[in-house]
Order: sequence, then C-alpha cells, then structure tokens
Amino acid sequence: MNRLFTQIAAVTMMNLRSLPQRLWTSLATVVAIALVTGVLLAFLAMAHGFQATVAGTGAPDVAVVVRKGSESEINSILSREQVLLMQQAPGIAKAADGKPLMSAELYVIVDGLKKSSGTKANLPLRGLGPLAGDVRRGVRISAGRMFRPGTAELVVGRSVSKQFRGFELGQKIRLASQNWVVVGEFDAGGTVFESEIWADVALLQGLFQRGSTVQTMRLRMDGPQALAGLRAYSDGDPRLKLDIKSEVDYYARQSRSIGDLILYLGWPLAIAMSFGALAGALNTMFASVDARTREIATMRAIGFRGLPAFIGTMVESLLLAAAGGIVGAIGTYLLFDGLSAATLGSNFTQVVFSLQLSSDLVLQGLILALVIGVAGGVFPAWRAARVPLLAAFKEQ
Amino acid sequence: MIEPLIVIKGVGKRYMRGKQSVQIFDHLDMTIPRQDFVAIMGPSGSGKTTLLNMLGGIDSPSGGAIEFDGKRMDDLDESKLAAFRAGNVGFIFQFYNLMPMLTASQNVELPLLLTKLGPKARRERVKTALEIVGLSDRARHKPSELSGGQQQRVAIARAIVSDPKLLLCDEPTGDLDRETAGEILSMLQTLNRDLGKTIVMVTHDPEAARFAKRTLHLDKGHFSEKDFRQ
Amino acid sequence: MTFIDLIRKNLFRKKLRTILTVIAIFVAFLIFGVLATFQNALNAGVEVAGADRLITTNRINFTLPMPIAYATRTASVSGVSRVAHAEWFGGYYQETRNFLVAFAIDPQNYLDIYREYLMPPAQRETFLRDKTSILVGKAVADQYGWKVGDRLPLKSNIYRQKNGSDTWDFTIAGIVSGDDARVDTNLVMFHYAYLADTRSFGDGTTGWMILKTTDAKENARVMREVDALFANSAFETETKTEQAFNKAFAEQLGDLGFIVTAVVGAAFVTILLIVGNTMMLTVRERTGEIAVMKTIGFTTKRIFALVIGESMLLAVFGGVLGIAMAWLASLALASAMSRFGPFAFSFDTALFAFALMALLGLFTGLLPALRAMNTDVVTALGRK
Repeated sequence: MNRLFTQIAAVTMMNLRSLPQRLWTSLATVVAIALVTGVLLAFLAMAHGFQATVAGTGAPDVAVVVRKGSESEINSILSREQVLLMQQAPGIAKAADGKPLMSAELYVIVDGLKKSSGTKANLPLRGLGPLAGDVRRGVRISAGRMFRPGTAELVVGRSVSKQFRGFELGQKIRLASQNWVVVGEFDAGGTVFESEIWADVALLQGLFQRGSTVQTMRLRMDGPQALAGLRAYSDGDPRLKLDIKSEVDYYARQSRSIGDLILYLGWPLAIAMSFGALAGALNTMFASVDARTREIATMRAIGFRGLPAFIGTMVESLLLAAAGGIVGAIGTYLLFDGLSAATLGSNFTQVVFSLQLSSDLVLQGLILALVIGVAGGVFPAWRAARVPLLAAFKEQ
Repeated sequence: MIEPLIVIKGVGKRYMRGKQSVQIFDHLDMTIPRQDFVAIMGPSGSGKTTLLNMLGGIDSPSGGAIEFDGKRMDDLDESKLAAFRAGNVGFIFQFYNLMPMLTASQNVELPLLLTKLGPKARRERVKTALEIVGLSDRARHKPSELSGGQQQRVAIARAIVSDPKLLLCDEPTGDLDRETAGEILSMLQTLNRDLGKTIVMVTHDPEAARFAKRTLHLDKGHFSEKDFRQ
Repeated sequence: MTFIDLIRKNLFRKKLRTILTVIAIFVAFLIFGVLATFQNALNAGVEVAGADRLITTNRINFTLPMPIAYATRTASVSGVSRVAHAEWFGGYYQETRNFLVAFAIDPQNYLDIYREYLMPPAQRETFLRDKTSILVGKAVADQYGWKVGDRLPLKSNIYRQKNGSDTWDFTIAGIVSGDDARVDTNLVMFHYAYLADTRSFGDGTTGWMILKTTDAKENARVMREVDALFANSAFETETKTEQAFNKAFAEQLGDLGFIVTAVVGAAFVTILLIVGNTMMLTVRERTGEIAVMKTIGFTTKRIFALVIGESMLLAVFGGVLGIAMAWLASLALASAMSRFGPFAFSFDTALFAFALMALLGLFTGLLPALRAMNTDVVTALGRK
C-alpha cells in the first residue's frame, strides 16, 4: 500500500513537472474553464443581488394593503372611505398619542435619466403621510433632512442619486410639472426603497388629480400574527375588497419572477458553455497523455502499475480545472462584485441592485469547474492507465 | 558529349550548431551524368544527407553553385524551388513518410495535385506507377495495413508518378530486412536501367551500394571514388 | 482526390478530437443563435417602427393618462394625417400569472395606422362593428388555443366595472398576424369605448396617442407643435418617433445588449482558445508530414492554405450545426419566449453567423498555418 502511494506520488510529480512543456495548451484550458465559471458566477451574482435587494425589503409586522386583483402597488387604488375603515381594523399598533400607526400612500411613476445610458427610465415617486416614518423602521436619513409636509421637497433613496442624473442633495429638479428641491437622501439598508423618491402625499394627490384617493396602505401590526385578523376584518366588509399581505411576503413574491428568470438564463448558458470547455479539456488531456505515452510505458516496463498513471492524469486535469475555477471566481469578483445594475421590477419601475458574489455562489462555480475537470480527466486517465508496454520501444 | 544532369562546383556548407559555426564542406566538386546510379557512403556526420538535400533543393549551399540540367538552381527562391522539386525530383526516405490518412493510391496521387493533370489522367498515372512497383492489388490499403517493404514501394511509386528525372534516396533500405531490401534495390536498378532515371542514393550499407553503378565515399568534405562492380 | 479531399481527410484523422472540437464550436454558435434571436425579439419594436409614426405620451411618464379630447385637437395639427389613441388595460386571463398585453384602442384609426396587422376583411368588419369584440394576436391565440367566435372573459389588475365586477366579457372577432416575422403578435386589442363606458374611474382619459404624419420629414415640426399645443396644461405631453419610444421602452429592462454581447464574447473567446489550441496541436504532430509535402513540391502557400482550409472547414462544420440547432430551438421556444417579443430566427443572424465562422476559421488557423508554412524541411526530416 505504501509502495503504491510512493508510486502515485512519483508519477504525479513527473506529470506536473512536465506541465510547462504543455504551457499554452494548459493555459488555454484554464482560461476556457475560467470563462465558463465567470459567466455562471456573473449570472448567479445578478440573481442573488436582485433577490437580496427585493426579498430583503419589508418587515414581517407591517401589512401592505392593495385593491384585490391589483397584484402590485402601481395598479392599486384605495378610496378615502376604505382608508378610514381600515384604520379601525384590529391588531394595528398605536402611536404614543393613540393614533393607529398607518400610512396611506401614493405610488406614481416619473421619468429619471439613467447616468449610465442617458436614457429615460421609470422611477417610482411615493407620496407619504406624516406617520410613514413610524410605520417603516430601518429607514434613516443619511444626508440632509426629511421633506417638510406641504412643500415641494423631495428625499431620494441612495440608489436613485447614484444611478440617476440630477438627484444630488440640494439639487433643483423638475418632476411631474413641478419644481422640486432634493433636501435629503435616505439609507434603507440596501432594499427596494432606496430606488424610490419620496414626497408629501397631499401635494402629489393634487398634482396627479387623484382627489382624496391613495394607492396603498401600510399598517404596523401588533405583531406578525395580527395579519389573519386584518384579513378577516377586510373580508367581512363588502366595501373592502382588498389584498393584505405582510410586507416581507409582498416583496418576496416580487423578487421571484425576475430573480428566477436570471437563474433560468444563467444556468443553461453556463452548462452549454461547459460542454465547450469540456471538449477543450479533453483535447488537452488526451494530448498530454499522448505526449507522455513513451514515458508512461517506460515506467510500466520498470515495474510501475497502471493506477499511478491514472491518478497522475486525473490530478493534472483537476488542477487545471481548479485553477480555471479560481481565476474565474476572482475575475468575476474583481469585475462584477458590487457593480450596480437596474432593471424593471414588478411595479414597472426601476429596481436598482448590486451584483453580489457570496461564498456559497463561488462554491457552485468551483463545483462546475471541478465537474469539468473530472469529466475531462477520466477518459484520458483511463487511456494512460492502459498504455501498452510496447509503446516504450516504438520509434518516434 | 551529352551534358551532365547535375554539376556541383565549389559548393561549401556551413551551419550553426548553437553558437558554433560548423563547416561540412569547404569546396566540393561533383558531376552526375544522366542515367547515373550513384551511391554515396560515408560516416555519420560526413554530410551525405546534407548533400542529398541540396541536390533536391530543400537545403541550399553556403557558397558555390549547383546546376541542374544546365541551369543554376541554388539561387532559386522558395516557390521556384518548390516547383523545381515537383517537376524534377522524387524523394524516397528511410521511413517511407507516407500520409497515414491516405490510401496507397492517394499517397501516390499526392504529387499530381500540383500538376495540371485532370482526374482521369491522374488516375492513369497512379495506376501505371503502382503497376511498376507491383502493388496494384494494394491500391486501396492505408499505410498501416501494409508491410515495410510494401510501404517503401508505395513511396517509390509516389516518387516516380510525376516522371521526374532525378530520384533521391536517403537510406531507402535502412528499415528493411535483407530480402526486402534486395527487392527494393533491384527495383531502383530497373528504374535506372529501363526508365532512365538518374538516382542518387545515400546509404550506410555496402551491400546496398553494390546495386549502384558507382559509389562515392564522402569523408571530411571530400569524395573518393570506388567501383564495387569490378 | 482534390485539395478539399485532402483537407477533409486531415480533419477527420483524429475523430475523437475533431468531434470534441466540433461540439465546442457547435455550442458557441448555438448560444450565439439563441441569444441573437432573443435580442432581436427585444429590439423588434424598434426595427418595425414606422418612420412616419409618432407616439405622444404624458410628459411626466408614459404610464400616466391624458384627456381623450387631445386626439381631436392633435388631428388638426398640420402634417398629421391620422391620430389613434390606446390605453393599457392591465389584462389577464383567469389568473394573474396569465398576464396579457391588452390595449383598449380607437379601432378604426388604430388599424388604419398599424397596417402591419393582417386579418381577413370579414373579421376586421366584425371587429369594427361589434363594440364588445376583441382582436387576438396570433401568438396569444396559439398559446391559449383561442378561435374566432370564442367568448373571452378578461380581468384587469387596474380597472373595475361600475357594477363592481372585475371581469369584462369579449367575443373574439379575429386573429391578427403580422406582415413580417418581427411584428409582435403577442397582444389583444378591443374597443376603447367599451372600457370607457363601463369602468369605475378614469373618465375622459386615455393612455397615449399614435400619430401618422404625412411625411417623415414633417416629424420634427409635428412633434414640436403637438407638445406646444398642450404646454402649461394639467396634462403636458411629450411626442417622440415610434422608434425612439420603442427603443427607450426596451432599454428600461437594463443593458441586455451588454449582457448578450458579454456572454457571446465569452463563448467565442473560449472556442477561439480551444480550436486554436487544437489546430496548433494538430500541426505540431504533423510537422514531419508537412516537411514531406514540401519535399514533394508543395509550396509554402499551399501548405498555408491546407491548414487554414482545415480550420475553416472545422468552423463551418460546427457553426452550421450550431446555427441549425439555434433555429430549431427558436421554433421550440417561440411560444414560451413570446412575452419578450416575436422570437423568430432571422436571416441576418444566419448571415452574421457565417461571418463569425469565417473569422473563427481564420483566427484559429492563422498561427498554426504560419507555423506549418515555416516548417524547416531539413530540421523536420532530421528529427526522424
């Protein structure tokens, strides 16, 4: 057993020492595997970043109320009567002064100019009431101050000022036929809210001819368990045909479709490309075995067994694949990690997110690389193990 | 008097081995008449193969002149040399050097691809060449399916198919047993005698040299002639 | 035997290696073909846009409404030959996941402007006459198996009927196909009047207008004049060419062009390496043979051509298979991908693929061919 191990070690070392002779072939394989890993990881980082942003939004004890069948805030409409009725629903937390912690909001779309492409894109402009800050926790003004009710002042999410032109602090901007001043920037912990612009709800109702209607309500509940009570209350009143979900649930649903779409694109592409890289790896490894045929046969003639030749070839293949995987992961990390991107979310508005690589994703990339390494090594290794002894004496 | 086929005048050859300049010939003179069959012998490194390569236009002398059929050929450019080889020279090697993916007849046809002959004419030529070497029944075999002697006969057919004046053979029997070697050498004799091919053959083997009309010994850059046929 | 035979025999000498290399090329061209088709689907709206068509939307954002009266006022602007209006219905069939591209249109004008929508004259007549009828695009009809005459209840995630119902009942009057594969038929269209008369809110407004100009040269002036007409009103407008509008719309999804280019780029760099590498290996193994060919009288040019020819043949072989597969895949995926636009494999994509094959063959063959060309006969033969 020990002797076999010595043999394996000796053959493997010989194998690896001869790698520089096949430098370019081996490098080509490493780069091909790196590119496959890179493409996969870029898509995974995109899907992960998007899902982390959208699914990470919301609190379990906040209820989002929209009109039944409207699916998202943008399509919803709630009358003043419905808002007043919902305020009396059970299980809503109260402020210090006894008022229910409730925010009736407008959600409209305005044009923003993307810094990257210079093209117009849909930005959500949310109208908020005075209690909005108490309902939503985890949002804080990171620069400047909150808008004053009744004035044409805006606060913008961090992503908005990063990705869109003209939203820097103190900037004057024209939106919805109105001149505004950006007075603050808020940090919402990397959630969807950071892609929004916030202003006074009453002002927006006027500007958008909405009268007293709003689109959506947020209620802070006594706890997540209060949701069932809210639903029962709403279902029991024919004037309230509403969908009520916890905020967490609402955003988790929204994250799915697009996040899944990116994954459905990324995996098949990476797998298809893997076949290409696998073909390259096989060619390289077969060539490696061919180049060493005489050497392997000579070793066999001296008394070495077939297994060391098999393992030596496998080690070479796995090493190349691992190198490719690591290069691909590092490349993706350097090029794409933290890169900001934006796409249309479920509300037909831009959701800004950043590509996020995690150790879990890198592991998936490395596994793909190693699978290519195993598949690309096993057949050539089999050939190496069965090199006929006579090959040692052949001419050439 | 009939003009000789090849005249070598004062040819020198020097090449670099690492950083050292190595001189093979200094001032070599040689005349090969038409329809000659000359064997060149000599120790390893004496320059036999280099000389053969220069005659075939795949290596060029460092000085002096080589005339073929009365024309200088040592100063031709690459493409003219290729045309010269295609038209005037057939090569026969020690290890046959057939194309492994082509059949015997396709191997023989290879040089004809460089001519203007049509498919039919080419087929005729290939057929004749294979008949001369006695391998008509092996036309569709690949080299790996032929014995060494048979492969060398295919190589000879390939060398003569475009009807060159000169055949250059580098150890043509070095890889064959004595009996097969005798067959190949007799075939060369026939080609020389019946078809009038001029043959220059490099060999180590005095037995092989015996088949030639004359033998030249190359040593330290100079010839000494011996006639083995007495 | 010809030179082509020689190249072919060389190529298939090591069958396993050639097959593996062909697979690598096949995959790259498959990826290219499918992604190019995907990109074409997204850009189809830009390509089929009429040069003499303008889109007028609410200046704040195109999702916001404008008064229906604007259509009549716009029609009087000189240089405008026809005006239609349309509105987003937010429609779905039975369940919200069966989301539909549904427009409430001004029927006569809309169909007169969008002449790329084809249907039998009788169906068109029925549609124009019956206020509760609906036209269904071929892509949607195929997806759900709808036929002319079927009753079709649709729901909206935006509107409600005055009577509280969330469902509108339609009769399918006709099935619309496009006069070009790039025309998107993933849509349904019905009478604006039907929606306006029944919905609980949104009185007197519509979504956007489509203007047909008398001449594309008039576009710039018409755009200016129309927007000036409604300036300083509660509903200011913004008018763009249909092409610019569709382009901006597609770009909202993100920089998909970059993603497609990056992926196709990565796939091609991969095969460039793999194929180039394989060709290099091949030529290195054949050094002796190449020397023999030179000896026989093959010129360096011929040797060069033999190697380039081999890499070209390899590229075309794998490429044609990949493109053929991409074409089949585009047929298979057409209905699943219809929500991104008309998913049809285009002739241009095939042409571009052939150009790529030529480039691939050239680049992967170049270095090995130069090496083969420069093979030194004396050294190569001396090696034996």
